[in-house]
Amino acid sequence: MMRTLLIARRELAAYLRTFQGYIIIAVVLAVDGLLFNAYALGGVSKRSSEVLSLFFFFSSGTTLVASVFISMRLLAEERQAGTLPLLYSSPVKDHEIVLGKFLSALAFLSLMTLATVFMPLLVMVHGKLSVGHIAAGYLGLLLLGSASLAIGTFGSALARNQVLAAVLSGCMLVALLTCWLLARITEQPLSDVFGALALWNQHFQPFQAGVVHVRDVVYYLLVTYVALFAATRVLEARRWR
Amino acid sequence: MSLRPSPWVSVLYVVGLVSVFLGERVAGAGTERLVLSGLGLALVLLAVAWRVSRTVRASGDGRRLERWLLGLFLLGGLGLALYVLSSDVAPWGVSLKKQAPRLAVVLAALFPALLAATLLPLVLVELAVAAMARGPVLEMGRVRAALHSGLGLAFALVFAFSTMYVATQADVSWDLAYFRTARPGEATRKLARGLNAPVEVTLFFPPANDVRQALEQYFRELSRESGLLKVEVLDQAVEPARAKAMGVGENGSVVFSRGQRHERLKVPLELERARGQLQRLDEDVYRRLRVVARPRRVLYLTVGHGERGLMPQSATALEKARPGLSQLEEWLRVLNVEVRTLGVAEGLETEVPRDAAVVAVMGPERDFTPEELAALRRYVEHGGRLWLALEPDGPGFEPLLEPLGLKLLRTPLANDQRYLRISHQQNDRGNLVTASVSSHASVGTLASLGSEASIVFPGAAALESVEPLPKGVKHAVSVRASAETFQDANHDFIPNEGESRRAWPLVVAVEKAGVSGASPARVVAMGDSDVMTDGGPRGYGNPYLLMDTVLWLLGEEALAGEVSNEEDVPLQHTRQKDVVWFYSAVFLAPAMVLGAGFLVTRRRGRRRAPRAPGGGAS
Repeated sequence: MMRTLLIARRELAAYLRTFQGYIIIAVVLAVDGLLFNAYALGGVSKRSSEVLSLFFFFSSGTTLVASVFISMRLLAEERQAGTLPLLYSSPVKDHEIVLGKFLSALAFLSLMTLATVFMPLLVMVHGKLSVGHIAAGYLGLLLLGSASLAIGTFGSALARNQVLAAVLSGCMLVALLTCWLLARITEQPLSDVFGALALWNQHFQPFQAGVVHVRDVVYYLLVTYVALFAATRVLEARRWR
Repeated sequence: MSLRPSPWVSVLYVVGLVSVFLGERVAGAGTERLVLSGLGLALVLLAVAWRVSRTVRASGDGRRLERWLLGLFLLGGLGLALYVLSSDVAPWGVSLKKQAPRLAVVLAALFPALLAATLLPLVLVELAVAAMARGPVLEMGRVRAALHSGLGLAFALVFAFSTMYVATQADVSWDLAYFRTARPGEATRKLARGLNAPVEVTLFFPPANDVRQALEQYFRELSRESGLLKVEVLDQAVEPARAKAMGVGENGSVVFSRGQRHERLKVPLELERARGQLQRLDEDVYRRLRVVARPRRVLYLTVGHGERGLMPQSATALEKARPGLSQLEEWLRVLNVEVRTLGVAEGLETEVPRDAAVVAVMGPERDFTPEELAALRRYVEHGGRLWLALEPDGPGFEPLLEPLGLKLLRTPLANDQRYLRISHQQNDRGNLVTASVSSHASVGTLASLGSEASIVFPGAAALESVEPLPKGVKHAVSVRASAETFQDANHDFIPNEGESRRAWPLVVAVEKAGVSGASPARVVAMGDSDVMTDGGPRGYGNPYLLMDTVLWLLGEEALAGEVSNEEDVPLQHTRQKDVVWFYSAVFLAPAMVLGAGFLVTRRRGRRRAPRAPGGGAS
């Protein structure tokens, strides 16, 4: 565990000691702010809860996109730079490498997501909002970010370079996002399986509305677990392929 | 005998399984299903037979590999057999779903797990073997690692799906969105405190009911205000006779009783359905309590001069559409005030009806006749209560306002800094927003709310006191426009030279001593009538202005106060707010992050910079 945290700390420092990390956070904040002003607040007068729900809707989109860009470098960069064999030869286990890198990316994404908290607080000034609704929305965003980052880590483990990693992760995320469409055209029990697999439609909307279901929390944690497990297996596969 | 590994056996096996899947899940019933499923089953059996043959012929590590693969094939075959058992394709014609439904469910969950535990390791083992195709020997350690990886992935997937199933079945949820049962507001508390006869509140609810608990909590708090307010909880099923006496046929009712007078409030028994009502409970309670505790009063709304009516007025060739006053009527009903119309047909040219508690003139477009004005003047002189809401482009009402020392300045007001954006056009500057209220009793609630309750006046004119005031007349400017408001003489919504900025009086409360021993008259004059229409903005302090005005006119200003409402409200934002929110979200926050990044990276750069040669402390 110590080695995992060591890797995570080192990776997180790599994000924050370069100006690029701050540029990513600033860009995401600006995009979130624009969407918040243009669509969540703009147009006809909306109820506070509706504004908040729209804010989380748009934030979920930026979180998904940001997670692809954050995760694409995790393992693919090491391979691209030729430093992966160094990691292999160090006394660190494969799962510690994957977990450490994932945790650093998650910490960075959380920092970025939580930096937007002033927007719902602005709504609070002139509207009626419950802190619980805001907390539920952010829990959903963090869980969605965690699952998509884990999928991105898996994509990064599969690819030889960062661009390919981003493309692979994007494809996997789109496939999971569009599962609800498959659920519509298939019959039971397959439709149930596809419906339950859909990354956003069934599992994020309750968080958006301020409702926390244990099944949604479990879903995102399981997606994270399976994707990280698969990423570890891919790293291991380098030894037997 | 040395036997080269061949991936084609596994390919044949997988093709067979895919064919079965297509037959069972895509083709549906009929010949297609039979052909595809039959073909698939035949291919699977052929692959197994081929694998057995290869296992017998192979030797050494090759035989071990073939055995592992055969084991995987058999595992998949077992999965296929379980599917056949649990589905309706059982060859013996007995459906397990009907005979043993539980077993059928177990088998239906088990067969995909077995297929996953077959296919994933199979793919990975074949990949590992393919990687060693040109090698002189088969490294069984690499094959074993691939097998374990595949099995591990399959188990992880099975674990994930099982856990997800359990979590879905035993789901627990927490609704953290805005929901709160209203607490007794200041107005309801004052009403309870002012009771002069016993009032009983009876809740008809079954035991251990969530809605009952929420209501009990509310009434427990309210009953502390007065010993005359008694609260009792009954179950209609247990006390049918008492329920019937109060006109209640089932649970889910709150009855407010004073003597033989009963007022009922229906509340759903399920919390989900009762939510909305519980959020505005205080308003409902206030209304019922007022009905049983206070006599009904009548407010006359003048008609016949283009005034605003209760119903909205649609646009005609001569007149534009005008919103109605149905919301105002709703608020008046809360105060137990009945609204009636008063025109020439009702005798306005002769006399104001004796039962009039208040006469309201709401935004007339044409002048009243001299007889009507005379009747209204006599009404005021004899202690009447008059509510005048005028418009800049309407009549000036000089014959009525002059004896009160008032004058309507018929130039519309505008504000280029503090206004409500509705249409996002220049004319939005006519929607004045102000929180400048005095401490006069006619705006008591607004004064206590302070800047939390701004009022919006869409298209107002100012009122002016004519000095010296007539004898016995007292003025109180209760609401003023914000200081940067200007008189827009040329209607361009731009402050031009000569259009002076001032905190113009918008609402004036007037008290005038009555003639020959009559009680003092009360008049409220407003420079805008849109402030109370249905088209007015929600979420602002306008309702409190109207409620406070009516209570003051009725002489019940002591009962003014906030009605607690926990309903979500539409978010209204002024241009100023929009600008602040936009710049803070799009520019300020990202700029702060970039600034922090610049400081952090610069400091690190300095720390790492090498020292100058020969420098430093000795």
